[in-house]
Amino acid sequence: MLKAVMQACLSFGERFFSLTQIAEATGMERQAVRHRLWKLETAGLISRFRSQEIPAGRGRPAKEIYYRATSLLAKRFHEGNERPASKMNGWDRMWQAVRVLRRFTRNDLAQICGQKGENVRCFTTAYRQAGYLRCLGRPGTRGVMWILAKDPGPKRPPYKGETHVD
Amino acid sequence: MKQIFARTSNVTRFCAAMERLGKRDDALPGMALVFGEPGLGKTRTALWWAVQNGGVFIRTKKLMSGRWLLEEIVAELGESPAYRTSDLFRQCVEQLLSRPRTLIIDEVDYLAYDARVLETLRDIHDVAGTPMVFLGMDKADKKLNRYRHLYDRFIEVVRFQQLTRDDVTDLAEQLCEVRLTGDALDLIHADAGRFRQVLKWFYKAEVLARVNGLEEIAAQHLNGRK
Repeated sequence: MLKAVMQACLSFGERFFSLTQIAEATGMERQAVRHRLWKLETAGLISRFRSQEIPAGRGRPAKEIYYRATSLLAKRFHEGNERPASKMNGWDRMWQAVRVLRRFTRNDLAQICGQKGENVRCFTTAYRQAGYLRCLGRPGTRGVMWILAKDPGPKRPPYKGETHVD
Repeated sequence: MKQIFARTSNVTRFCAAMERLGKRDDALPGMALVFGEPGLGKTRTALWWAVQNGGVFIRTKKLMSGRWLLEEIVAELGESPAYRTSDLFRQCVEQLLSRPRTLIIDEVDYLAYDARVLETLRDIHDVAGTPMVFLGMDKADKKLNRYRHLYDRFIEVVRFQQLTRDDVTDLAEQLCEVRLTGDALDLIHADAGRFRQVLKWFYKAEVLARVNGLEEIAAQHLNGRK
């Protein structure tokens, strides 16, 4: 639905458009359109020009808001149409696999994530020292099991020595 | 054992189904069901695919309610779950609309007795249009067949089957670090139709070869070593 609203906004080019015009163009409910436009506005993709109240026969007056698209909107719309490529690196993949497996061996990670043994060893060592992984035995032993001791969420947490994770 | 992900006929069929699901026509629904006996590598294959292709893997729990499931999905999509269920649903849909990703729901059998949870998943799929893959155990297709609206949306149904003789041969070539003779492969195939069991045999064969300095392992070496 957000895509449809973005497309409708883009159809006005550099001209101003109102909430009503977007609702008519998309066939969506006014409230839903207003919510999407608010999201686009907070993201800086459209700018609000002015708003005015339209007196209604009964009840609360409706609000008519006028916007104009910024150059970012077209850029973001076309970016969104392409299927986003996976920007995950090897460690992100291993973190995702660890969160699903919970108990694993280094071999499991190497096979599932397609990583070299040396990279898997660095990963497990770094996160063991950071307290996220625990080894059920002597680290380095063949076939030893590892468990996820702390799960802070899908985003891979930084470990000691890493300044930026993105 | 070599550290690579081995491709069996099950993995090939799974990948082909995911490929078709990703390239389907917009008018078609985008749900798939993958099921089979335990130990055939369903979860491992799906996880491998998710890791390579940026899918979102959700493992359901026996006590899971609709709200709990939505919370898990929202958290996995990288957003902080809201308090109200309606907000959770909205967060989920908006995340999937802004960045479409394939949702893989593991152990879907657990949800087969709760129509509300299954219908919620169907709602997410219908609104966001995102591909959704259900992984279930052996009777998952029969359990889900009761929900016609849901079952009709499965455009791909993949059944993981026992490993064939060719699969065992392929696995030996891909994974085993020691050469196995034809009769050894026959023995392994006759004894083990599942991935995990086959791996155990390969491991034993490697140990035998290492300890005894053998270059090739035959059935006579493996007999009685189960």
